[in-house]
This record gives sequence, structure tokens and C-alpha cells, in this order.
Amino acid sequence: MTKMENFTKGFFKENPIFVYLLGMCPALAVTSTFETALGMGLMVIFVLALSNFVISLFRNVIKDEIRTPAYIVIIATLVTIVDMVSAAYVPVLSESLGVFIPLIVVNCLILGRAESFASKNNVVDSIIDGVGMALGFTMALVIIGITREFLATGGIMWGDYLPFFVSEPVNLLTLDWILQPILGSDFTIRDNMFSMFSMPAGAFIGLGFILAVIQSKKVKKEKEAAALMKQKIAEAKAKKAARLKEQAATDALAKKGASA
Amino acid sequence: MQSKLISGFILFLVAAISGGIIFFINDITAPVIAQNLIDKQVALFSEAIDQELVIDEDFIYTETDINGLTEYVLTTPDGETVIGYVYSQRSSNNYGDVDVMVGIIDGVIQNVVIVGSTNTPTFVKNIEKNYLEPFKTQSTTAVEFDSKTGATYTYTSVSQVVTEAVNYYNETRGDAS
Amino acid sequence: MSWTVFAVAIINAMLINNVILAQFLGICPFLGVSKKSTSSVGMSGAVLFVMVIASMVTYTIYALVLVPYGVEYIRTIVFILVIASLVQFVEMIIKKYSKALYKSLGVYLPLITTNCAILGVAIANISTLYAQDGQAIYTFWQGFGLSTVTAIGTGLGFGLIIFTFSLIRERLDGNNVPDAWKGVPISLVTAGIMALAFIGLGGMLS
Repeated sequence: MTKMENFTKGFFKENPIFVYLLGMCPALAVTSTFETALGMGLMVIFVLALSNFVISLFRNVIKDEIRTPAYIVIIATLVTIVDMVSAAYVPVLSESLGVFIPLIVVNCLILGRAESFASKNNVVDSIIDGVGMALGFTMALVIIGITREFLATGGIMWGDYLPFFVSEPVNLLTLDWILQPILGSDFTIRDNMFSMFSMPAGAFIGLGFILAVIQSKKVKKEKEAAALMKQKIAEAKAKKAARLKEQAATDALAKKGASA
Repeated sequence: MQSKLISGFILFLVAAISGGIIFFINDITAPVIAQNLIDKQVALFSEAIDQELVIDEDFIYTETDINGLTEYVLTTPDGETVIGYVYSQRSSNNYGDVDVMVGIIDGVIQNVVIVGSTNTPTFVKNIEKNYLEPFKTQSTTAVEFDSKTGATYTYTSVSQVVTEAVNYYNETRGDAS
Repeated sequence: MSWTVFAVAIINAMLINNVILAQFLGICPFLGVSKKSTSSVGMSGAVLFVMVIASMVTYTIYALVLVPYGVEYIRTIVFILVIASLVQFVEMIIKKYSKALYKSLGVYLPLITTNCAILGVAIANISTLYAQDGQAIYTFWQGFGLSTVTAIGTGLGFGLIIFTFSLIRERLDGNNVPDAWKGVPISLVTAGIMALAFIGLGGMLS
């Protein structure tokens, strides 16, 4: 496949979370806010790109029998590096993600790409595949994160966990300025949203809704394809019937002509 | 046999290189992580006694554990004058744990801070926003608690820690202040 | 240390801080394996066994080797290698002593390595038994007991949820679920309702 196809397949067609259902544990646990979801996604991009790079670089040197432990050591090293660097430079994010940073090691996505792609393709393709799949993973996490945070608090915060570009946490999207003039200044949107979505139960239900939306599109596509197929078969049958009729008519005519 | 030896050697090489890289990164990040912990603690102290403090310039502290209640004595760098006392404790309720810090200077509660909690975030935010202000400037001999709040479990935990801290302070430090 | 601490630890790990519904570990097998109740029982038995032994071994290695030599930061690598070898070992033993069990568990055994719950329990034990600056809060044997007991509770909680869920799912598959919700989405919503129900157990220990 082309480089572009390789890169973009991770976004929609082969999205790790929405299509393959890999990496569900972080998808439920770190997506309570947009920032934590984005932070986890960036870490996975780093680990997956580098692990694909290293594994593809040494794919001819690492023989089959030591494949699994070698891959595990490489991936675990990268995860340890991410863990230490994030604990030092973004400690609030690291604390909030907690045990899920070391758990990137057992994220089926990374080991899966290593075994199925990086061990069989050259370095450039592997890096592109790694970055593409990880970007798809991040996009999925961010979608879930934005949905859950918006439903739980009515706004999207930036600066709480990733203190980049701003000095104070800022609310990126707040509907207070529309609603307060209408409903009185006592009204804050945060108090009137569904805080369940920041809790575990809300994570399950929220992800279920999102997957249902995606599955409904898939179901619709399948139904359309099935209907199209049915139509085509009907058309082909009609054509065949028409052709046989014509054939029979010409046969009869030929017979008549021969006997006359 | 030889191929197995080579494979084993390659595995060893991979492990050694990985170990080396991690060791190197640890050298860089371990001091930063330790510093982060200290900074966090100092920030909490500053919030608890409602003053901006810089460690080793404005104060040093000693820590003692009294049966679950941790007392921090904040003194000037020379150890002579006591600036204030900070009490920290973890209180459990049906929803989880609440870590609370209380700062007291000269028999007056400076501030009550919720350091961390595993309770529902909205309830904790509610308490932080509306019900911690009244604690400021209250005398330790007569602390008033809010009688009805919207999230009783979290507030009960907070009051429990405040009561214990205040009782300990009054018994052991009250007359010496 | 009174035995009540251990009893509280088991109940906490099994019901209140349930590994699937509250900590979000082990979701992949939860959604993937729980279609039939028989296979889910086998899977949770294997997970419980590996979890307990892995917790014991990893805690021992951490307390007796990593901390004294000051190399706690390689714990991720060491833990995951321990778990991977343990799973290989368990697979070999099952293959040798019970062909029937091996056939029924089949492809799920190697998957236990990537089960977040086992590595998650091992790391969570370390965080509860060691303070932020690396000092041990308990003696070695107290910590050993606590980590083993937590692992037992977690494994039991995992098995309980997976088994219950497989029973629910068998019913779900037979009912009239709208097409868009078939399979994983409706299971997730069911799991969410279960999670809501389990919050009610939070008042058990006060």
C-alpha cells in the first residue's frame, strides 16, 4: 500500500479503539478529561513510533525464539523512559494517569503492531504505521475525552494537567456566557450537567454510546450494501431471463425458417 | 546450539542497552522528581497557613506522626521561632478517603485545605468552593461547623480532621503559643 | 497486624474497589471472553492463579532486590518479564497435567500476559506499600501478606464480575437488541449499570 494509505489507515478504517477494540483499559480510565486523554495519546505515539522503529531496525537480528522477550524488553524500556520523564516534567498529569502509564506496556496495540507489522516491514514503513495507528488511537481517546468532559462539566479545561501555552488553567469552552444572561448569574453550567460521566459508570455508558453511534453507521452501510447487492442480483436475473427469452425466440424463428 | 547461544547473546545485549538507557535517564530525572515532591509539599504548607513561603529561606519544618495525625512544625530557618503548625490527616468515609490539611498560627485557624480525595469530584469541589472559607480566622477554642451542607460525607470527614487537629493543638501547643 | 486488616483488604479489593468496574483493569478479556459462562470460569481461575503468584513474586523481588540496590525504576521491565515467564510456566504445567483444561482454555492462556489486571495489581501493591519518597510503610512479611491478600481479592472480584457478566450476556444475545447496539455497545452500557450498582457497596466498610 502507498505511504499515505499506510499513514491514514489508523484513523478510520483500522482505528485501534473503534474498530479493533484494543486498548480498552486506557480508553475508559484516562478519558475523564480532554487533557488526560491527550496526554496519554501523546505518550502512546512516542512509545509506538519508537518501538516500531527499533523493532523494525533489528528485525533480522532478533530471531524467532527470543522474539517475545526481546520485544517486551524494548517496549518496557520505552515505557519506563516515558514514565520517568513525565513524572519529572509534568507531575500532575503523571499522578492523574497513575498506574496507566506503566500499563502502556501491556497495551495490545503496541505489541500487536510490533508482531504483525514492524517485524516484517522496513524501517520507514514501520515508523509511518506506528505514528498513524497511534494518532488514530489518540484521536479516539480525545473524542471520548471531550464527550465525557463536556457532559460532566459543560466545558473543556486546559492547563490543569498540561501546563503548556497558558499560565493559568483556562476553560476552553464554556456556555456560561450564553446561558447566564438568560438564566441569572447564579447559574453555572457545571452544576447542571451530568457529573456521572466523570465516574467509572459514566465511562462505560459513554463509550457504549459512542460505539453504538459508530456501529449504527456501519450497520447502515452494510444494509445499503446488502440492498445494492440484492438489486444487482435482481437486475442480473432479469437480464438473464430476458436473454433466455430472446434466445428461445430466435431458436423458434430459426426452427420455423428451417422447416419452411 | 550455536544459534541458541547467539540468540541468547542478542537478548542479553538488548537488555544491557535498555538497562543502560534507563540508568542514564534516571540520572537526569530523579533529582527533578525529588524536587517536585518538595515543591508540592511547600505549596501545600503555603496554602494551609495562607502565606507565601519559600523553603530554606522563610522556613524549615519538622514532621511528627501522632497516631495517624501528622504534625508539621514550621520554624524560621534558624529553628528559633515557630511560625505555625500544620496538621494533616486522612479521613475515610463511605465514598473513599479525604486528605485534609489544617494550618494554625497562634490559636487561629488559617486555612483548611483538601489535599486529595477519592470522593466524587463534584462533591469535593462543592465543599472546596463554599464551605472551607468559614474556617478561616476561627479561634481553635471554639470552632463552628456548618450544620447543613449539600454533601455531608465529605464535609463530615473534613470536620473530623479539623476537630482532631484543633484538639491536639489546644492540648499540647495552646498555652505555649 | 490484626487479621481484620487482611479481611478488610480482601473485601476492598473484591467489591468496593473492584478491578473491572472501578479500576478499569482487565477490560479486554471482560469484553472478549465473557460470552460463555463455562469459558469465563476457566479464564478467571487461570487469572486468579497467575495473579496471586505474580503478586507474591514481584513484591518479593521489589522488596528484596530492587529497593536495596536502589534500582526501583526498572520495576516495569522486571514485573512484565516475571509475568510473561509465569504464564509460560503455567501453560506448560497445564499442558502436561490436564489436556482437557488446556484445550478448553486454549488461546486465552497467552493472552493473560497482556491482561492489564495482573500488572496493574502488582504495581498498585507497590504504590500502597511504599510511600511517595520510596520508604517502606510495612515490614516485609506484613507487606507480603497484604499484597497476597489484595491479589486474592482482586482475582476473586475479577472472576465474580466476568462470570456474572457472561450470564447476563448469554441472555442479551437472545433478546431483541437494536442493530446498532448489538455486541459491544450494549455490553458496555450493562457494565456501566453494574458499576453504578457496585457504588452502593461502598458503605460496607466504615
